[in-house]
Amino acid sequence: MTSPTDLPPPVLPRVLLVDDDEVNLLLTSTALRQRGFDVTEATSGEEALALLARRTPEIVVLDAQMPGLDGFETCAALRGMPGLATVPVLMLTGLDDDASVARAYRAGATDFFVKSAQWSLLAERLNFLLRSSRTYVELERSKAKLARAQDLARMGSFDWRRRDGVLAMQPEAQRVFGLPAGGVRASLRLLLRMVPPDERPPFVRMLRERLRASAPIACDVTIDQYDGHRRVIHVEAEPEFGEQGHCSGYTGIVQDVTDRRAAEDRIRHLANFDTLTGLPNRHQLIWRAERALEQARRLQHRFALLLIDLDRFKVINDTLGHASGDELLRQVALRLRSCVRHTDQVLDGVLEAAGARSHRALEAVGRLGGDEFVALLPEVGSDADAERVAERVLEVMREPVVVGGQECFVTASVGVALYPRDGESVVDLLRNADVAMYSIKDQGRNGAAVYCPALAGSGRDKLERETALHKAIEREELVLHYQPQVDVRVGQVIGAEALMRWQRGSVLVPPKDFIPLAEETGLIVPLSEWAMREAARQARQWRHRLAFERPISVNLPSHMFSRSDLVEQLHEAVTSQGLPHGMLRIEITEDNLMKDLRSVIPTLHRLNEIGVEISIDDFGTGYSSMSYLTTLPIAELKIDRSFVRDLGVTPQSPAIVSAIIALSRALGLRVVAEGVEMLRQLDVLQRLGCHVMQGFMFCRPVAAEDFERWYRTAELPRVEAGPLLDSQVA
Amino acid sequence: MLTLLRCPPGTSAEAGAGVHGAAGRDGASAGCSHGEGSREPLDPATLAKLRQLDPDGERHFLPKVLQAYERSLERHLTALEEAAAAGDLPRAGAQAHALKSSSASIGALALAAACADVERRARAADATVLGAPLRTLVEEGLRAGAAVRAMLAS
Repeated sequence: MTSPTDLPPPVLPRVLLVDDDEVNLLLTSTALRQRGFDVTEATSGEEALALLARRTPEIVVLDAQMPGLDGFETCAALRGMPGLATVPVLMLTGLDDDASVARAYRAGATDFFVKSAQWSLLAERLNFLLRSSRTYVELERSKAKLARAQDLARMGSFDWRRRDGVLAMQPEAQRVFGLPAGGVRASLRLLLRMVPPDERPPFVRMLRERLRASAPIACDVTIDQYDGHRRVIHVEAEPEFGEQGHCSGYTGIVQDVTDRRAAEDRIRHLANFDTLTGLPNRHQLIWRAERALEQARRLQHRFALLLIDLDRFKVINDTLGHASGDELLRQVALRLRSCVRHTDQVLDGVLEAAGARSHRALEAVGRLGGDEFVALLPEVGSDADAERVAERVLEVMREPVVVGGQECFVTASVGVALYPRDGESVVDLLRNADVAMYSIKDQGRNGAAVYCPALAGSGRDKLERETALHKAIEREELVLHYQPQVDVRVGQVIGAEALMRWQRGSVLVPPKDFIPLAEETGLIVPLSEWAMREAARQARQWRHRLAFERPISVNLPSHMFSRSDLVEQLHEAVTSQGLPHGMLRIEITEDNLMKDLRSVIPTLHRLNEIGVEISIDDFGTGYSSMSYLTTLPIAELKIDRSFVRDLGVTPQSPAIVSAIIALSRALGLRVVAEGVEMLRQLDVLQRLGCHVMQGFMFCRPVAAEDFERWYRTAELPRVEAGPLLDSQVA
Repeated sequence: MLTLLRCPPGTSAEAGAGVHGAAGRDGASAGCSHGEGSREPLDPATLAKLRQLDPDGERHFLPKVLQAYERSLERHLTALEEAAAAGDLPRAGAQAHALKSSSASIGALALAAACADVERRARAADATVLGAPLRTLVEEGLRAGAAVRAMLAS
């Protein structure tokens, strides 16, 4: 016989055929083989069991009547063997044998077949049994997979019958509740008892409502398992309806979502809390403040926002390093927390549940960012309440904070804003608290202030000034005033310092009122460039009109030096007037110089190379490293006016001044005293060896035409060099 | 041996099915395949079906089956006679049952009917079975055996 097709031979279903009758065995096996079965023959029940112990067929065909173990006994026996509980067994019976059919099923047979010579019918029956068996195996396998998946997902299904309240739970569902699969029979009552007492009534209420409406259920519920573990269970159930359309029960799943909830909580925490300090972050603070605002509006009370900004935190961060800065913030956060009735966690929905005074739970200190903190006081009687908390804040900061083994003294500036007086929105309140806080910074830090509209005025004023300053240059409102520098030994003007003024309408704004603002906003760059050009122009004018050939000093901030084009700017300013470079002299304050020494030095050298002298302003107030001073290409040190002012008043001053003079002499530098107002000062300076001075004693800073007038008419004091001076000069 | 002449109405004319189809259905008669069945000891239709299992005869299937049947027949007939001699009704019934099935399978329909008759009577504890019915069975058995041997010889 040839193969009917060219396809590779399929895997034949394995049949174990058991018949004691040799003829029937031969016929049946032949017929089945012909129909594509892989037949193994056995002539007795005993032989069949022995074969089954070695190899499991896909189907067993058993003759019912056999000597020895008959088909029924064989079937019962093989059902008890491993792996054979579900293998299909077809029992062959005679047609006249109803009793055998019943016995066959009792013995565990899958089906019976009346013996006949119609082999194709037998083959079809076997195929049918094989298909259903495979389907059954697949079903069992997928049920097992489902159970495993549910187990992994800590999920299980249940059915609840409304009529008698019977709750049928899958073993996996039992496990979700921590109940042993074969143990306690779960009932709704038993499960409800696992819900913590405080959560039980609202949960039961919710279930009742759903049930009444025959509505689907989807909720999370907390349970305490018998082993003491608290779990969060997600319940999801659909109602089932009977024939009359009434709700006959629910079918659904339960899932242990404890871990997921924990993860969600963690995410929520990260989104709402500052990772460094653990305090509520900006997002959470604003959220709380909004809630507090709603409550305050509804219940007609005041609430307060305190903006707390650490003073000089940047310095600490820069000197001790970021790690120490972080540690400092952590410690400060802890102290600030102690100043209020801080509540860490505020859950959505809890506010409503907690009743009228629930907004108390909003009270907290949070971190807005950087070194800025906010204390939220959800209900205050008056300013005094908020001020008391502000005082407490200042108080807790008095103790030094130890970071990196070092004691740091940290102070804070606190601004207070009260709803509704200082703002109707959180944004307004925060801004006004900010205004109040900055007023403290302006007053020298370490204090607290409640907002008042006058402060806002100064803030607005600042904003206006900033805008106006932008336009000051094009409107030619900026002017340079000049103060002469006098060498008292010869009674001659040896130079002039240009000082910037802002002629704003009729008001002459002094530098201290706009230079910091210009530095803050970056306007200092165009201002400085203008100053150089203007000073050069003036130098040229005086050269012609006064035959004045002395350099004019221009003050520049340090970051002008780090600009690559400063030298070009200066070159341009001077040469466009036909002047040598030396007609301008550059002053930089000692503070500025030291702040940015590295980036300043190259420019100093370049300026020096083209013949521009460098003068160090306000010398003695900073912390110059002497070793640097020796290497800098500088020409002049200007003694700070504070030392000059105290000359003859405090005993230390002459010591400092004489030290500066000695230093400048050692370095071959010119020394200039600023702020000389009295003859006594002039006298002391003279005797200490400083001969170049500027100050009211000679001339206050004046406009260019006034300078001209003064220059033409001035009678300068000429001081004879004393013995002390002589010896020092020598 | 002529007790089996009657064919019940409605019995399938299809070979094979009729063997079991009528057995025990209406008392004394056991059924037959067709009118021709009683004359031929081996039913041609059944034999034709057996030949289909080995259409080319390559595997010598039919001779193998007939040889096996012959051995089985000998064994059963001997056992039946012993049982009759010992008056062992259950044993006689069991042997008749066993012989019935294989006889039907090779087309010895008259013999199968005789077996069915004996089996039924034995199960009913009818002692007369050991008389005429058993003799009929043995006679049919001998006829069938002769027919099988004749076929094997041809």
